[in-house]
Amino acid sequence: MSDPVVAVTGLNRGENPQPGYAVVCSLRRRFPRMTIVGMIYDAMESGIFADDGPDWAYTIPFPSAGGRAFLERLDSIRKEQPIEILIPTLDTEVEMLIELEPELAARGVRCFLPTLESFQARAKPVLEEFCAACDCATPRSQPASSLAEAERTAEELGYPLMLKGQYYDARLVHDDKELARAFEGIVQVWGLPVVLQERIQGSEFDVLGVGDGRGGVTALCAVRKMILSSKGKGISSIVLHEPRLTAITSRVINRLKWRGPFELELMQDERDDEFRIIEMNPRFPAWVDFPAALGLNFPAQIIALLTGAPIDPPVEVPAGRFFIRHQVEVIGSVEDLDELMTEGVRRARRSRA
Amino acid sequence: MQSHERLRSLRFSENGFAFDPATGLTYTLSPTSVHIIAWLLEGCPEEELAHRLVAAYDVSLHTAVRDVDNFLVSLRGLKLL
Repeated sequence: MSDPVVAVTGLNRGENPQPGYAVVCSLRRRFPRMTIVGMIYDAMESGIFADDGPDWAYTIPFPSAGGRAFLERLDSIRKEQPIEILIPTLDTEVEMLIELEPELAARGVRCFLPTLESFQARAKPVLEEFCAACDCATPRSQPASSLAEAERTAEELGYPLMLKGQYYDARLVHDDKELARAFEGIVQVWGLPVVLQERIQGSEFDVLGVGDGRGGVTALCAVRKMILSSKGKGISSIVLHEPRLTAITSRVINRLKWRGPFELELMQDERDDEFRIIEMNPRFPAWVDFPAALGLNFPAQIIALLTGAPIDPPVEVPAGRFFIRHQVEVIGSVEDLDELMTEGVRRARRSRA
Repeated sequence: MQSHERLRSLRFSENGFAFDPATGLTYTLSPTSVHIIAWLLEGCPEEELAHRLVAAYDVSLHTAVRDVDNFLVSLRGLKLL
C-alpha cells in the first residue's frame, strides 16, 4: 500500500516556531517516500525552504476568511495533489476544521480531531471549570470582554497575573498600566475575550500525546522546560518520568474523550509542589519531532490511526534525554517568492531517493 | 534505617553529576557530597556522617558537622531527604 499524501500547516520556524515543520520531519522518519504538502499562509514560512521540508507548498487563506474559502482553495490544490490526510498544527485552524470534517470526509480528506464539544470544553476561558470537573488543579482564571472587565478581574485576582489571548499569546502584567497595554496588543491580534490567569511561580512542564477518542492515549512524553525564550517558550526541555503528570493527563483525556494530538502545559506551584494545568493546546507542539527522533513518533501514529494501519509499539522516551533548539539559516530565492506570491505554489528543489 | 527512596532514585555519575528522573533536575556534587550521599544510601545514620568525614578528610569535627548540616538542609530543601 502506498503512503497517503499528507498536508501539514504551520511551517514557520522563527523566533516563535510553529509545529508543522517538526511534524513533516517526524513523518519523513517513518515514511521516507511520503508526499507531504505544506499549506502556508505566508511565502516566508521558513520550513518551506528547509532541505527536508515539504515536497510542495501551497498558499491558503487565513482561517478568518472562513471555511468556504478554505474548501475552495483545498479543492484547487487537490486538482494537483491528491491530499488524503490533513494535520493542522495551529490553534486557530482546529475549530474550523472540526466543523468542516464532514465536507472534508466527502472529499476523501481525513483529519484526526476532537469533537467540537471536547475542543470547547478545554478552551482557556472555561479552563477553571473544566479542571474542577476532572479534579485537576489550575490557577484561578477568568475571561474578560472589555478592558473595564479585565481591570475588575485583575483587582479580584491581584497582580502580577498572566493576560492571555483566546488562542495564543500570554503576557505577564504587574499593574493596570501594563494590563491596558497588553490588553490592546492581544485583542488586536486574537480578538475577544482575553483571559486573566493567576500567576503561578514555579517550573513549567509539558505533556505531549495523542488521544484515541475513547478516553485513552497512544503514549505520552513529559518534559520539564529547562530554558525559556523571552516569550516563555521552551528553548530546551528534558524528559522526566513523574507519575503525577501521567495521572493528571489521563484524567483530562479520559474526561474529554480527546481525539487527536494535544499538549498539556502545567506549572509546579512552588507553594505546595502541586501541578496546575495552565493550558491545553489542541495540536502538536513545536518540539514533537524530539520524541520522534528517540523512537516515539506521534505524527506517524496519526497516520496509522487514520488509515487503520497498526501503530508502532509505544516506546518510552528515557528520562534525561533533552533537546535544545538550534537556529539555522535556510536559503530561498526571489524565484521562490515569485512562484509563491503569484501562483501560490512552490515545489521543493531537491531530489529525494 | 531510612530508605531514602528519593535519593536512591537519582542517577549518579562517577564524577559527581546527578540527574533526578522524577523532576528532570540535574545537580553537580562536590566530592564530599558524593561521599555523604553514598554513606546515606549505605544506611549511615545522619549523626555519624560528620565523623566519617573527619576520618576521610583532613577537617576538624566542627567544620565537618557544619558542612554536613548545611548539605542535609540543602537535600531537604530539594525534597530529596
